[in-house]
Amino acid sequence: MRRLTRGICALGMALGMSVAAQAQSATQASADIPNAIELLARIDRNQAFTSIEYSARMEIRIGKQLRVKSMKAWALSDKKAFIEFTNPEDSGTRMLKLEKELWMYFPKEQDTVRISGHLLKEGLMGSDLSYEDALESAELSTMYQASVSGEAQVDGRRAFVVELKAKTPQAKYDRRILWVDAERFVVLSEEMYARSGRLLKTSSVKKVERIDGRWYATVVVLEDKLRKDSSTTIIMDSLRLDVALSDELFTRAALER
Amino acid sequence: MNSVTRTVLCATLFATVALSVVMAQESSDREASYKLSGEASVSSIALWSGDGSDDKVFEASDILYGSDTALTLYLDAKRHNIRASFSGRTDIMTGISAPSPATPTTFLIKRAYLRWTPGSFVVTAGRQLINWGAAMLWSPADLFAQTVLTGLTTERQGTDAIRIAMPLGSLGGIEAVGIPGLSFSTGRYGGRLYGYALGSDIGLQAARDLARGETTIAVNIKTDLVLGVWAEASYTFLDDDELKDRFEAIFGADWSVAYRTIISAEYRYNARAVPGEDYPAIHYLFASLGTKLGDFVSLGAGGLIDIANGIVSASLTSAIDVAQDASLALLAQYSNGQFDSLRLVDAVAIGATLSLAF
Repeated sequence: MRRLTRGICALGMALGMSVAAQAQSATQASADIPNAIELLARIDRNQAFTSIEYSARMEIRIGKQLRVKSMKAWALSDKKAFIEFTNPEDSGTRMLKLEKELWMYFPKEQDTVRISGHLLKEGLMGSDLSYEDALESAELSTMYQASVSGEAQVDGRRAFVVELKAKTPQAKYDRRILWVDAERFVVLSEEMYARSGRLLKTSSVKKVERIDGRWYATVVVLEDKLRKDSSTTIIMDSLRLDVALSDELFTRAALER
Repeated sequence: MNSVTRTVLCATLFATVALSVVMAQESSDREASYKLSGEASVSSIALWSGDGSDDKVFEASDILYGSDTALTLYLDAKRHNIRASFSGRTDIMTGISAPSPATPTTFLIKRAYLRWTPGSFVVTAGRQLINWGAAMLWSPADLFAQTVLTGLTTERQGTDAIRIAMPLGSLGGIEAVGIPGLSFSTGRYGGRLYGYALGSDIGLQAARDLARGETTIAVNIKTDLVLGVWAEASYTFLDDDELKDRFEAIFGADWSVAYRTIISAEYRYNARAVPGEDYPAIHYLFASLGTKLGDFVSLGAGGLIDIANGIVSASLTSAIDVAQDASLALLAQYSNGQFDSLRLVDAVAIGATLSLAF
């Protein structure tokens, strides 16, 4: 999921997710297919940023129902992120991510709460992305073994198929399969499996844009397969990379201002 | 001019002044201006109450009804390092929902403050929520705020105060709060040092009430030990040697079952309550259970118990997400007595609230 959210998801970018670091070792595939570590490193190089700023919409579909959340987000690398929701129901609700800690500010109560324990399992604002997914950090890099298993076509584009296998019981998913755009090095699709083999989550990129010379997924659909008939589409716009952001934004004081 | 009209006029005046101050500032930050949002709701309630005698039996004709149509507005205006925030709620009530037949309409200013941020300092003046505690219902660490319980929902009340805060690191800070009285010698003043260390939220706070002649110190901690746990305690020294000092402590925990059900419980020990308190007994227990019945429906159940006096209130609630930004809340509640007066009287209430945020 870390790869899912970090590699291709706008929200994930603000919350800070890395791709290449997850592959500790890789098996060399055939001569014309790149090494897994090399491939994932290309993805990270393409998407790496020192800072980012954007607006986004989350369209949460459950059956025939649609709920829309809108937000503004800022992030410094993958360590610090600040999100403010702007849709009427959640207006002024803010999130602060500092490394592996997550805090939320609720404006009506003027209260700040650390998201921990059971709350981490909840869907972020009712979406298919959990708080726990958003918090996954670089330490997961030791949890998966990567290999490139072949090639496939995704929406008419050539893609490398990368498999990640959990090396430790602490890994959230036992197995992940990624389809990586062979030309733009963007993760176009991902599947995440439990140890039992059950498919838990999927992601699918619907739009890729070139921003400041790099390719970014700006529309991503996430599906939590444990939920019935649900999906979350994250649409990012007004994206700016490497903007000047103050460290003071990423503090509890800023959360409560 | 009645009190409601006066309050509305005062609120309007504040909002006008706040907006004027903020909007008049020269600023290059043209994106930040003001935002108006709110919530409209309609509630209805039916209540049956005994008279305290054992021979009172339920009769349909004894059921009382009431309704509450409410509008809550939130106004936030900001420029650069100054921000005005206003939240007011108007209720138009009928039947038993009205405080009295003479006051079918009420207006409550929930918050109304200006927040100025010169450098690292944050200065907040006006009615604001001062959240120092982190407990569910009783927070001894909340030296400047009261919490009320409605159904299973707790809400802190605003306090008219001046607060100066300064961050210490990313997650800590120090605060000073003053509630001026008619003179300095009748005010209430306090401070707080808080931070995050070893996976725990920790706070130390103290307050001096010059009018009442008392000093309170308090500590709070909240952490995760498989369960989420929290504890708070306060000790109040009284200047009058003939009166005994007060001690209050709470301990709480929450945990989840299958990630869809959250169970929380909080125990309160209150050695010496102040007359007139909402909860004047020594031992209380508050517990709640919340579970999701689907993506749009949640169910809550909970109870509040005065252990020594055997007073119990049990609630069953449901929240239904009926549309974008709209929800329907249902409530059923039984109690066998009143927690403040300790009077034993059976009461059953059911109610529903439909609300829309905009």
